[in-house]
Amino acid sequence: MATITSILIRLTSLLLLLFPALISAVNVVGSIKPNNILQSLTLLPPSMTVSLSGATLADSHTSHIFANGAFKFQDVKPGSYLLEVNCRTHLFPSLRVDVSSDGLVEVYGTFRGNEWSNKGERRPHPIDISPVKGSDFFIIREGFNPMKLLSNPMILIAIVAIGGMTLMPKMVENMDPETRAEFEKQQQNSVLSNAQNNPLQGFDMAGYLAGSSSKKPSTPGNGSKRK
Amino acid sequence: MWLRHNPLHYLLFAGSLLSSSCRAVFSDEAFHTDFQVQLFGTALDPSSTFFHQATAGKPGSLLYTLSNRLVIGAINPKDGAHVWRQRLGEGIVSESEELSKLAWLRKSKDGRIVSVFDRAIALWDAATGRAVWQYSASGSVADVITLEAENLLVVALKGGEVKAIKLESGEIAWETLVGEGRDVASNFNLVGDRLFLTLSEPAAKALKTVVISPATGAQLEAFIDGVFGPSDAHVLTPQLLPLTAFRDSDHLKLNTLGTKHTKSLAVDSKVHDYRLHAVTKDTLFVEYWAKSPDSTTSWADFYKIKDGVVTKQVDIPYENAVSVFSLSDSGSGIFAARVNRAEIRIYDTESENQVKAFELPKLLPAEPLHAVAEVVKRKDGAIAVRAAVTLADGNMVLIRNDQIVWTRQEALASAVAAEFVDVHEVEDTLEKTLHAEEASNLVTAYIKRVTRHIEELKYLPGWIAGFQQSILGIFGPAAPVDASVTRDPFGYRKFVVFVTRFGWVTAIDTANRGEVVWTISLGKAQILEKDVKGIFHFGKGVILVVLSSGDIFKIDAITGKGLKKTAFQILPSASVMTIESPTTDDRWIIAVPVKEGIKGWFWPDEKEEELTKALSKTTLSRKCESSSGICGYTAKTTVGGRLLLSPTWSFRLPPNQKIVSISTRPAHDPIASIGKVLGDRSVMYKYVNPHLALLIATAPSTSSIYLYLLDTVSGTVLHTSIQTEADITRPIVATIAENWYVYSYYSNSAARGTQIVVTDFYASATKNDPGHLLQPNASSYDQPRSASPYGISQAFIFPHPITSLATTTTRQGITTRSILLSVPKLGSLLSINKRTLEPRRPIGREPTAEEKEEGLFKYEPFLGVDHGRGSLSHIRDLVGIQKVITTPSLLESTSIVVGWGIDIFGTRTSPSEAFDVLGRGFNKLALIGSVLAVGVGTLFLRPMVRKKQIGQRWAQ
Repeated sequence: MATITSILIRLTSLLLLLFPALISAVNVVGSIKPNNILQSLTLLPPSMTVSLSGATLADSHTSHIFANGAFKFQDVKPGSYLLEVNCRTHLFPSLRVDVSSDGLVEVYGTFRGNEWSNKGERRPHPIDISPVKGSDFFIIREGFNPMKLLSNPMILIAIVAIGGMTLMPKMVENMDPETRAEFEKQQQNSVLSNAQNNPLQGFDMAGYLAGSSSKKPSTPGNGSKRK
Repeated sequence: MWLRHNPLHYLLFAGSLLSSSCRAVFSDEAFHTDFQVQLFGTALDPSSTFFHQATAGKPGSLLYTLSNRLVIGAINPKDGAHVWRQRLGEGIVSESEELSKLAWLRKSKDGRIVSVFDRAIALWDAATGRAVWQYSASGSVADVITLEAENLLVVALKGGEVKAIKLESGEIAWETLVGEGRDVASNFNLVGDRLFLTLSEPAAKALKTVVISPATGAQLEAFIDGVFGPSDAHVLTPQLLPLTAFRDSDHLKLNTLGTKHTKSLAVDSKVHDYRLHAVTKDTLFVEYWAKSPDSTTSWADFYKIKDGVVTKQVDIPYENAVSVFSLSDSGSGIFAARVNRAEIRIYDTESENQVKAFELPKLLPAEPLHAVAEVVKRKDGAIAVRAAVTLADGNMVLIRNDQIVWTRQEALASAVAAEFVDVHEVEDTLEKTLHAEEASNLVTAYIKRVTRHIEELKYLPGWIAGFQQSILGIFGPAAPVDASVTRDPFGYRKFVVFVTRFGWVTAIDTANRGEVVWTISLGKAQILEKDVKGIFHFGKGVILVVLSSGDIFKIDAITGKGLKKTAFQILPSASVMTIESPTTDDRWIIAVPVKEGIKGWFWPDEKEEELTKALSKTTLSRKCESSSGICGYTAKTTVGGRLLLSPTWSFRLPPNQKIVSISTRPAHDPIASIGKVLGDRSVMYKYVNPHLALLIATAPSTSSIYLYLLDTVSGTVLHTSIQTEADITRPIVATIAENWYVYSYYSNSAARGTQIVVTDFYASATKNDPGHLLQPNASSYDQPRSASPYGISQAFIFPHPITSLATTTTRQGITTRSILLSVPKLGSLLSINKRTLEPRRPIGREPTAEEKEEGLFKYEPFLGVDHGRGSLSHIRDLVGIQKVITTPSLLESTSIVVGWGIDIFGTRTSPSEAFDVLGRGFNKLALIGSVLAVGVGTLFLRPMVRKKQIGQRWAQ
């Protein structure tokens, strides 16, 4: 009889030794899923890890990302954990993982910078997590780009003005005499009225460019056309 | 309301916020202005370093290694370039011998390798370095073996638990417990299809082996192999041998597995250690070495194993030099390679004479520690060898036949101290020569100048050549020039001097991609972090390395020549500091012993009057005797290089608090502006005090962190703050500069995670109040106790743990500071502008117009970092950066940053953009082109305008 009990005791102690994990701790598992930001899992650096931070360093776990994107934390003790993906090339959301003493794993979104009690929506347990943003590492220096120069509105206005300057005389020549006379009259008026309002009117830009030292202001009153 | 927030929004917001204040790296500067020395660390154990096929079935092998810094990875044997690396743990520099019992690396099946570190087992893809699976055992792992036929990895834990893990999935196939938890497992051996596990049973003083069925895990048989006394130890036996080995003080016992037959080999009492090698199951190779103070001897024996009987075959002779052996079988026979400093000799199993010797062109820089070699005998009988040799200086070299193919500076991964040396200091600058000319009379000055000009003519050809280069540089990016030969007008070139734990001092050049400039041995076998009192600048281009043993090494930092070695009777716990004469160039080092009432020392023992003058203006401070506080002393010189110390103040912590760190302001920390101009044109005056010390203490009982800001001259506590609900097991790091400090810790409070706290100190809480700052003879000595500064703090949540904090430093201190954060989980060195870590940022409201003008923006508690733009190390993967040091360059905008630990990463950063130098983006071609275009346009328009003007005149 005594031998049987001793064998039983031995067996139970053996079982306890073998399966301590089943009694107090659970596994938290999940995987990284590719999305349109992360086209393929092979783009992730091999050294990236996922960490599950508990109240102390001893309660914290780290897992590498396996070839199929999976990660696994073994024997997680009951408690409230912060799950973060440590990745240089992509940004992942942080999650809150609550492990209860009966082995239930609850996963929530979390808002960093708010109270820990402020939970987001609940997520399914084998955690699927995808990046929300890729990292830009570099600023690209903007070199000289003719197209960019041309798309500048100021340059566009200047081009339209130059175009008008060259095209206008030809258009005027093609007009029928009546409208032409009317147009010239109108232009005269407008130039005159402009000239009265323009404070820089005394400055002879054309003369300056042409290198003439003439101080005498030219009168633009008579229109641009020779008669 | 908060619940409606989208996490994406937060992340994007954080990113946009930081990209405005963090200066990212320009794509054309990356990999040009920065460098990284990618290191593994020194190979730990010869059994964990091996050549192995990267992809199963394809030719071409890589060199795999496990280092003393717990980095595993692959090296390309052709050029020594690293292929991949992974860290097994947060490696602490610990004793290699202890570590090699905890961690190892083994070949597995199908291009996989398996790593073990304490409880963690991981299977890695040998070609890419990606994890296949990881398993964390419930106890320390004793041994692992790959069973190819069953596709299993069998793991024995020290406690006797045996688990079989499926190689493909990482799932448990079977598990069993051997010896009811009382035995200590040590070694697996696979003989045919029988898996033997050797265990020692301390209670029964017996060594036993258990045969386990590979398929089911059933324990088939058990044998008692012999008496295993308390002084006996198991010897690591190669797994393919049908033997298990153990030792007592003078015997090596070899038990044939599955029998009672044990062969006992007498081992000479001089033998320091021995190692068993095997590449086939019928040959055993034992390597012995004996160390005595005056000589080292090594030898080896070949044994043949036939039908379970071990017989000696060949005796490789004694040699009075350090040599290491490696056994290899590349299909053309078994060869042993013997490597010493001068040559590699090849032995076969037939005779005690070498079959081939390769003499190296020059001696290896240090004795070999261990080697792995591959010996190939070609069809024509020629023998070729390649050997990866780990040297006693910590580095690894690869030797092919008689040539050294590459050297990896792995010792730098075991650096214990580092310091910048300014190369410019020693160069005779033009400024100095001009001053000398000014000082002399007219005629000599003229002669001097003319001779100088004639001398400078020698630079003319080079200048013309350079001129051509710079013209060519207009039409496209300049060809990269070898930095070692060009001049360095901006002072980017610094040497970083490292003391490694192998007892060597090594300098690298920051302008030349971290290449080693010189290296010198201190003649010590091992130096740990606690053994180094410091590396001190000692005049121009001279450094002092002071060790706890009292040895002082004076080294010319430019050439690496040892100038002087001396020693003073320093106590291991004394504090060592340098002191400079206020009037002359003289410097001394001072040692303040930890015991009260004992005299200090100074060195060099000369010019005592000058030293007395220098000492009269300083207070020395160090940790108190019981090391629970800081004590301040004044010192006076006495005869014989001794100092009389008299205590002036002491600051002691309550008994439940322990010191974590003491930080002081850097030696070079200029404050360009003593005040901060606010938006309304009033001024907040900074609290300027060169004698600040930040003492961080923890109280384990209450999980609190205490921060004390002290004045080291008067001993006054200027500011105190407490953080409760902190996790004091995680790193607490701090940096202090100007009038502020920044620290980081892990908080378990409602806002959980790593927090960064910044505190700025101002002279007064009121505006336009300079406090004591502008008094004519303000001094730390006569400050009233009430003159404590006004501190403002703000805390931020940071997503990742920070292991090191540092601050950029520039020549004049005008440039904004950046805080540098080493984040090992990302493998990055991040940079945050001090403008972001500004405690005056408005909380809970948008900034007013005045605050905006000042550059303040709304406070957000989450300091997310855009990993890309905030990163100085951009796309690089930094492994194990533990400390970050900074030094100014000659340009005000630029600070030079070097991080070290395992990898060495160096870069230069401009926190306020490069305002004083034209960057690579400056397009000379565009500038010249637009000037020409305007000129051509003027020429073209001139006749047109003239014609028009004439036309106008005619029209009038």
